[in-house]
Amino acid sequence: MRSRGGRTMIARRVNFRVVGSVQSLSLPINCPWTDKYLSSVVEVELNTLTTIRPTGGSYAFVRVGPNDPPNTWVLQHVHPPPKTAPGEHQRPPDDLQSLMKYEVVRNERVAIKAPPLDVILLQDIEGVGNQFDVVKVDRKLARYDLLITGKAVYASPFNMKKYDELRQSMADELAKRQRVDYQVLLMTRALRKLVVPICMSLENKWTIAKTNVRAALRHAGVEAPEDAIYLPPDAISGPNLAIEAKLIRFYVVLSDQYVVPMIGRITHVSADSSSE
Amino acid sequence: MLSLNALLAGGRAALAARWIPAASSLLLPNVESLQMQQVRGRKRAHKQPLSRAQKQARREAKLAKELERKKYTFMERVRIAKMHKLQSPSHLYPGRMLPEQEETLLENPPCNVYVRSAVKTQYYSVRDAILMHRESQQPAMFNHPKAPIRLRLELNMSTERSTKKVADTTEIVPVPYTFTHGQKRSILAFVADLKLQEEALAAGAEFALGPEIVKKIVKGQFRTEDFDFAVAHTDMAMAIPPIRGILKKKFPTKLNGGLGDDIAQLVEKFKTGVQYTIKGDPIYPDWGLCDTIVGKLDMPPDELEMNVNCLIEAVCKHRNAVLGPFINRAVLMVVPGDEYFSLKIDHLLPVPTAEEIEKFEKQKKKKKKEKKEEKLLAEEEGAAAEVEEDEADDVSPAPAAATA
Repeated sequence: MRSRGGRTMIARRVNFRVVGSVQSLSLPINCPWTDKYLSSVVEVELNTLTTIRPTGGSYAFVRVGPNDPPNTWVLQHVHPPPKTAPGEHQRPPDDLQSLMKYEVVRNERVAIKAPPLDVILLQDIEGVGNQFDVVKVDRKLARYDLLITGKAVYASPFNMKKYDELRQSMADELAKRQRVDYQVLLMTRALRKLVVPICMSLENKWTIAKTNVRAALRHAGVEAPEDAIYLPPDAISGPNLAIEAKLIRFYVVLSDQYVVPMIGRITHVSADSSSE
Repeated sequence: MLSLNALLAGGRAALAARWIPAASSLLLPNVESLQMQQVRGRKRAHKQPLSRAQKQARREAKLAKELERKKYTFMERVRIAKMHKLQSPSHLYPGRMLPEQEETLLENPPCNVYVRSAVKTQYYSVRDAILMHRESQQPAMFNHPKAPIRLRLELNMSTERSTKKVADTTEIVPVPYTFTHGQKRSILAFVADLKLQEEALAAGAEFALGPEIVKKIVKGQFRTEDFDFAVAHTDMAMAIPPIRGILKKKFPTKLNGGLGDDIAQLVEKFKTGVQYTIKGDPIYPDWGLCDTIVGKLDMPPDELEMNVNCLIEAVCKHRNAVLGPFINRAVLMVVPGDEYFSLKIDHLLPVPTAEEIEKFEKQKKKKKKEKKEEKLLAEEEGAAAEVEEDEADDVSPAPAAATA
């Protein structure tokens, strides 16, 4: 479609089908108005100026017929034209601009979601799978990312055979690789981003212990057992307003395997609001 | 010869008098439309003269505006604005547990350390919840070891009838392990014996009433709305039924523990018991809330557990068990505090017996049948009416044919 002075010109042949209370399909300005009533399925060659444009109005759900060719758009009047009494002349459609307005009725064909695609991954991809895995992926992801960038190939019989052989030849290398469970990996990233406020009392004396850090983590939305928390060797005591809002480093160990460095911020709290 | 101006000035009457027949108005121009008054100069638009139609339109617009203004009073408008901004109490922190919102989350934590928001709601026992709260409220941190424990119950308020919901109530439940709740409670004691009346008053009852006052209550000379609960001695058991309807939920019965022999103990029980309120949600009628203080953080966890069990049992009596769980989720919090822990209460919810389920199913079938019958009747009536109409149509031409 080429744009010329604000209006669009459609250069190719497109089918339009108008549904609803149709008396006629309004034709482009160049076509002479006649008494003829046009049938509901019309092929219109739109290489002339038209006022047909999809509006943002309400959509109705209409199935595109099985006999309609694939480039069919289903339209309906935005303002239904007045009914012509029997024996009377039809009101000319180009009488009013509003009678020539159409809106696109949602095409059911568009709303159907395609099933996922089988692909063979050529490298470890987070959230999808490991190298040489045959997985079902969302079509959009496959076509826009994985296949184009060479991270995956189609699971055709040839490819299946080829990469199966390749996997067997690389078996030793693959066994050596260290893989982290995807959910655990996400968890570690979330934990590393956090700055955990460690709320300690302003009145009573304290020394930061594992139980305090555990309670602070829970307050921040992280559940951790005490044996998974490792604090620095130098104990921090208070209340000490000199260290208020200072950051401290501590470590959390996931499943006795992964060490996650975390940051805490010392926050003095008090229920007594008289001394601020 | 008259000039045009004189003609125009004189008007139709003058002309008619001269030589133009009265009936023909075609020959005369419409004087008003010819007089094109042009306003020139500053603020022309304001000075334009208005036609009759325009003036009428303006008058009508003004009237409409006045009516609109007078439709609601100021207070009514305030109330309307409040209603629009109304937030469902069920959405207030910590919100309602909706299984649909948790569908994409993990069932179980992936490892020993996990982020709560990535995993579905985890359920804890009362004991574990208390211990976790104690960690936060310890003297070294928030320093509130004697904090009141708050139990927040999310309720399902639907009943057998679709239009009816569980009614809002405020009741007192006696709990096995008491604590200082800090609420002012006024208890009525119905006792016949004077000595026992003194005992009741000593125990903390607001008023100790004898059988004579029952009549006054029935007449309306004594207000019972101001009191939280009523307890009665067994010797008054026969005298109080007349005021059952007036006291309603506050009426003492053996079932709710308000009727007994030791009046002092009864008063004590209800003075120290847990008062709970079941409230429906104004925006989502099927949802409800019950928020209560069930104990203190420094109480032994087992005692608190007993209190929680007691309360949940009492609350669940308000709805038919056949309809499903009354409590969507029970959450244990601390006042004041952000943390909440969902409790395991499946073992506390009442299980409907087979008989009750049968009864319920029968009633449902009955209703369905009745509805079907009604429909059929309505259809028949409709059909009969149509037949009558047709007959009426047939009747009219017959006499005409007969005459013809």
